[in-house]
Amino acid sequence: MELIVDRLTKRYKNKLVVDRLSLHFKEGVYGLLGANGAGKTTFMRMICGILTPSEGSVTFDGLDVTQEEYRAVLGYLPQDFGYYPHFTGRDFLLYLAALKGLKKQQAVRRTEELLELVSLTGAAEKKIRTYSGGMKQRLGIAQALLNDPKILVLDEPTTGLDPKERVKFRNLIERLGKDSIVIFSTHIVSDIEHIADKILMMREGKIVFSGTKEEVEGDLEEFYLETFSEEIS
Amino acid sequence: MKKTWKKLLKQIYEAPAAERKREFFRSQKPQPLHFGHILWVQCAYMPKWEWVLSLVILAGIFIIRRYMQDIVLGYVLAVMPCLAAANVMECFCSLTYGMGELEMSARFSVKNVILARMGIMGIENLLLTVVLAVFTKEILLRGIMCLFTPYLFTVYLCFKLIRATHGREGIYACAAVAAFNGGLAFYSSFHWRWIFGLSYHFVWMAVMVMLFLLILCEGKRVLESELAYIV
Repeated sequence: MELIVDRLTKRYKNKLVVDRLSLHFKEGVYGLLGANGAGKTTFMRMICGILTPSEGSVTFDGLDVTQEEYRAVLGYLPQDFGYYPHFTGRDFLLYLAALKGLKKQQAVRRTEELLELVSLTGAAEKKIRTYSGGMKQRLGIAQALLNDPKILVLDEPTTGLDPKERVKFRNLIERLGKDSIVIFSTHIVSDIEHIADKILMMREGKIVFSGTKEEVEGDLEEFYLETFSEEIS
Repeated sequence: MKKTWKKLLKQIYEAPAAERKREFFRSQKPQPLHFGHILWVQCAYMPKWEWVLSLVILAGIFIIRRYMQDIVLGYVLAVMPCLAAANVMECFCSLTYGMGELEMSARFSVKNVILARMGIMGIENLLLTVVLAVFTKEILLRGIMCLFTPYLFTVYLCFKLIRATHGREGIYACAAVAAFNGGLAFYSSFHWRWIFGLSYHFVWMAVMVMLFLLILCEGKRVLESELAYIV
């Protein structure tokens, strides 16, 4: 299982948002850290096939990102997502399960499993517009797991989660990282410290650091602040 | 073998729990999906009010035909733009309600989702138009042309508005266009009745074809601009 990002570039008119990134991902959890505007979301969208790169390619075990077979093994949680106003939590998951190609019986079974996993079984029949921010985020995490993805891309997944939910989420990601490629971006350094096998720091479209927690000298947050100290001053 | 014996044997010789089931399923290639699947999914998940709207229009025409026969044509012409606006908004609801990014990362891209919706709405409305044309007692083909033309005109204007507005403002803009076109169509059915005469048959056909071609061009532009807008 290998996700290969080869010289991935995204350019908008004069601005280079992602600058020739080349990375190899295997099973494990990869934490992506960077300031706002570093290019993390753009990079993740290109991995998910939502954005077409200006140059470069993304392949998974020989499958290009534009192929349907690639998206069949992909799970994605955007930073911000909406919902149809008439949908309940269960409708939302069943609808996305259908779009991901799950058969009806499989979709129903998987929906129930995931609602229980994210502790939303009690609220499954309620309209999503009545959900709190944390509940909505948990629902978003659930939809990303519908097709038991081999590549899981999560853009700021712990936003809105309370400490208990965050711990549960970390344990889930740790478990998934054993046999899937999990890439998540966050501003919360402690999330990276607890669960990421590898840390990627991004600035101005480039990876400025790629390594494990052990390779970081001292505290990760201090290291991060030092790395981006020019931007702060 | 008797059912009771079967049941007993199943209990005694219980099948062992599946081992490494998840690994097995993950190792399988995903089954190919056909466009028919997405059509079926979209039909199943379309909001009920879309179908109810069509039924309400049909029910309306039964009532009006019974009690107010002279305004049947006016009523039908007035509702066609409303139907058009509702359908256009439903086609692009992924983008209006922020579901575009999630749908784009699914196996079927949001483009296919929108095209599927357009196909379903188009077929449903064509059938509805045929039924309504029958009730207006016009010659069927001319009736369809007269009714479908305000529909297509509203669709074209709504596409332009969606491209200009983005998001939920598009709903209000399309509603305004539909109300205006509906009012204009209702007015024309009384005061400009001559335009529905037999001699204008080819004018209606030409206008309809032109609108259809404009919609195809504008629809393509809308799709591209809206998909770019998501990201």
